[in-house]
Amino acid sequence: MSGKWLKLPVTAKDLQSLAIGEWVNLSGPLYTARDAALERIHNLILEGKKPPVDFKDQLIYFVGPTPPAPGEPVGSAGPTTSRRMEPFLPSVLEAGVVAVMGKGPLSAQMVSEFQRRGVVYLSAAGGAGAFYGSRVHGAAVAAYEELGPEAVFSLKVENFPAVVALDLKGGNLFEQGPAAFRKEA
Amino acid sequence: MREIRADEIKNAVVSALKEIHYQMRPDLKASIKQALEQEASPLGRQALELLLQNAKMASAGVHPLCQDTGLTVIFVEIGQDVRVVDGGLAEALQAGVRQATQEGRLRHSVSVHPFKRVNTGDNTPATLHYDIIPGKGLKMNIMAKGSGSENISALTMLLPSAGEAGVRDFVLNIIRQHGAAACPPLLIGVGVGGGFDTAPVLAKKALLRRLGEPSSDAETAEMEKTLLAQINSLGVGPQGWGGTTTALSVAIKTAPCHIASLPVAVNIQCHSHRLAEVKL
Repeated sequence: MSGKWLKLPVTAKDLQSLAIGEWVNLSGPLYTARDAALERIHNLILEGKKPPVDFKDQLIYFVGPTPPAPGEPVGSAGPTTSRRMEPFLPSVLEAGVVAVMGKGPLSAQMVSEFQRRGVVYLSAAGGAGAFYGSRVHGAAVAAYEELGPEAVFSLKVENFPAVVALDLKGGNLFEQGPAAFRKEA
Repeated sequence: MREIRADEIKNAVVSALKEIHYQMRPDLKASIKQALEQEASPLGRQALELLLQNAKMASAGVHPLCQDTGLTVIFVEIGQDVRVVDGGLAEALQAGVRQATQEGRLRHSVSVHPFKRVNTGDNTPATLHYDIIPGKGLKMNIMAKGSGSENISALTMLLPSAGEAGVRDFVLNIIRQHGAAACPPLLIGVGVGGGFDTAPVLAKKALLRRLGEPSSDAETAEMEKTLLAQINSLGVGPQGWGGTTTALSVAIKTAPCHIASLPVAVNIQCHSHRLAEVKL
């Protein structure tokens, strides 16, 4: 995808420059998490304990990959539904996450939370797991190995495309995108 | 009486699952290509192109089409003159799922208990549906159902006076509110009639129909066409990024129902429609 190249971990300046509807091509390290791991992390933070990895200035990607073929870092690795993670997101954002990647819209309440904290939301293409899996060049379990596909992985991605869905200027692709094509009577 | 060995059934499940997780169905590919020609949004077209590229990459057999390798659902039509030998039918189907999970490197996506959330580790139990039919045939429709789309599926019991318009409104509300989260472009299976228990099964069976093939009933086919046009006017678009392709198809199945009821079930399927029909 032709778009902006974004080196991970992202800088505040890079994040400021993003606008909804544009593609970014990510390269570098990121952390994954989904339902089970996020619930544990959320509970740790509520108890005043440290999460198992340092999320400060990190991008967190909602994914549960399939097992890798021999010699591959991961199998299929497309995004999962972000809205399901919302109960745990405020804690994770509090831990210093600056960008979140998943699929589908966030609730109005969560959109305000992102805007208030200055967090960018990237929408990866749901169902493109083979494509995304091939853009992962390294994978290691960072925490909760016992959760299998739901463990926290540290992934090294290269040329990993996603669309900016919430930017730092108040733009919301999941509102503005469909509004431009709505033809309901 | 025709005898079919349980092993033969298990092996058929294994090869079907290993196929559908890596090879996009030809009717689906054709439908996405057609949508690509008609999609008005540039971002929408890029999303559709990415899905075709994804299918091409998956076909190499290294990365499955989607990381949500789903809950396996098997619809079995078994002739009443068939006898399964050297093992049980259900056991053979579950063993097939277990073996395909291992050999096909499918994600473990099934929890033992809805609250305890411990993984079964082999994607069993699959959901099994049986229909007993006349004759000596055995047919299986094997589907891998992702949860992003399953989670927005719904059932309602309308008043009969709500009629066709009531059914269409119910479907449209689901897509308007939740469609973007379910990996559009979507496939919509609708079951109308039957009862509280059977309407959802009808809706899922509607998804077994080949894409682009209308209902054999002319009035139902007309309703499918109308509803598809209405869904695509919502603007949700591929991935929910906005556009004119929110759904690729609407398939409706009807059944007789109680004079006081109008059950409606909507089973939403994502564009990663992994389904195979196997005849033994």
